[in-house]
Amino acid sequence: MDNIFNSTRFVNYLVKYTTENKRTLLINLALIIGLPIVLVTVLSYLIGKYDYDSTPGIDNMWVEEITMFSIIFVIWAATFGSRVFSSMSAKGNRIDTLTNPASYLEKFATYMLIYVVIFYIVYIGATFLADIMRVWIARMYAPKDAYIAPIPLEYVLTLGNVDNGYDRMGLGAWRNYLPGLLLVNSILNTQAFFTLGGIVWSKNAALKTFGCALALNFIMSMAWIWGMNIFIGSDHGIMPRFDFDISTQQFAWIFGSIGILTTILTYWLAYARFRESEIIDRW
Amino acid sequence: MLNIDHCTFSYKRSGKPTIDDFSLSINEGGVYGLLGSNGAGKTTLLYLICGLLTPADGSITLDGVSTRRRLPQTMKDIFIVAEETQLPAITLKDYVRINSTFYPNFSQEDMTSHLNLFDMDADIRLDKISMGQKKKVALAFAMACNTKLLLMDEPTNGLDIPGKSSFRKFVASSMTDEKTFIISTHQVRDVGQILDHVVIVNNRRVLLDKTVSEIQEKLRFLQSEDPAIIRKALYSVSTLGGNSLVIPNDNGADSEINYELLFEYAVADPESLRNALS
Repeated sequence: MDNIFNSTRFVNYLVKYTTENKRTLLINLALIIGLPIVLVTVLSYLIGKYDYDSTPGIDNMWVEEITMFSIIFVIWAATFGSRVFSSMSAKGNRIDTLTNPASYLEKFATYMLIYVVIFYIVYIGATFLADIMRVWIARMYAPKDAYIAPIPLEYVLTLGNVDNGYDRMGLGAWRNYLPGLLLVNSILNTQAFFTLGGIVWSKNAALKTFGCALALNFIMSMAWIWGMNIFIGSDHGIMPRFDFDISTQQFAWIFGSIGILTTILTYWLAYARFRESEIIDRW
Repeated sequence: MLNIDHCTFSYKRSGKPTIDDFSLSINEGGVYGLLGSNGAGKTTLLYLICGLLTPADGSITLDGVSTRRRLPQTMKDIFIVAEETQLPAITLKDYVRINSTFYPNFSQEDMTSHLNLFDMDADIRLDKISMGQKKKVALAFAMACNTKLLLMDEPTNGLDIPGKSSFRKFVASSMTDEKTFIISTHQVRDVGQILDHVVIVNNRRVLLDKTVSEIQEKLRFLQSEDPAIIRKALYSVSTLGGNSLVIPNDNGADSEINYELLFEYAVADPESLRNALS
């Protein structure tokens, strides 16, 4: 068991990693916190969102804010995903990483803690901070009657998905939460995929993984359309209506579970690849 | 202790094996010199020993455990100093503090004494020093870890003249019966004096695997113009200063090993060398 995981060694490796990468991690921290603040405060002022009337009870910036936060989240997730194994990029670091007496699991857990768990916590915290800062700054210049308020949690969880009665898949009230679920799934999967790319390619991992993701997307889209044409016929459109006999809650659970399982499988592949890593990439 | 058993390894691009059916047994204690020309597979062998590469065939074990598994219990007993030293942009004190925790036999006292021997200050930042100084830090730290097996790839590359001399001094002073150093080099003059054991590799095979005393017992290395001595030579090379000769050590006289000559002899006529040492 001691060869698999030892908490003291894990803490030692965590300290070693954070100390050796202190500068990079602090710059990343500043970027994660600073970028949303700058974007929402500056943009809300520049595009004059409070110069015109808003829907009662809805801040004019909420939609833009949610959109920006979501896009940045996905970009950061990909960026940090491809940095999970950054210690394996240069030859000297690679030797140091692979010959260090901490176990693979301790090393992997360290990277995951920093680039996944802490990243999520910091980013989510940063978006709340950015939202508060935007409200605080907007109150200084916006017209007195403008509705300015922090985004309510429900608005965040539904990604501002207002109930417009459009319910093609018959999901009932749950449909409001589907975009949020889809986003969480996308973020988890994107980060896991870029993590896998980071250990497959030691140089320019983000770029290569992005290219790979595009290619995979194209192939899967083509396979989907082609499959639809063969098995269902060509009059269905891209998204045919399925009449599954499941409740909306079940659908959400299945959808969420598939996403999480895919994420876990991808991280497991990345871990397996890490265990097999050598001084040079031989496969 | 370390057992390399019929090990074969080839790089994907080259196609042909870099290491071919290589076997070597290394016992506890002693300084092993791994000598070979460029491209002979010395670095590859060191990487294989510490589990950074996977042999296509055969196995490498340290105390019976495959090094390729890179288990913590094995890796705490192995340290490799690579030819090109890369150190993080932190202070030396921080470097020692965060890395020494992984090596149970690390000695701060040894670290300080090695740094003193290299005439280096402990209060430095590792990104503000030269390559040679980085090498000194890496060597001092590696020695202070007191691992069972210390692998050094071209350790004297990048060291200044006093540094090379200090390196020899602290290798000699750090040796204990529990520690084994494997020094891979083609600059044999830098390390010749401290070797206990010589392993010469060429063309993917071990040409020589003998202790220094075994070599000295059987062979003499000398410079001579005397035709009678030249006739007895097992191997000779004409140099500006006369003939460099390897002759049988019939009368048990002491002579310093000329490693360059020994290497040339091993490459030119391995069979004759084997017979002479048997």
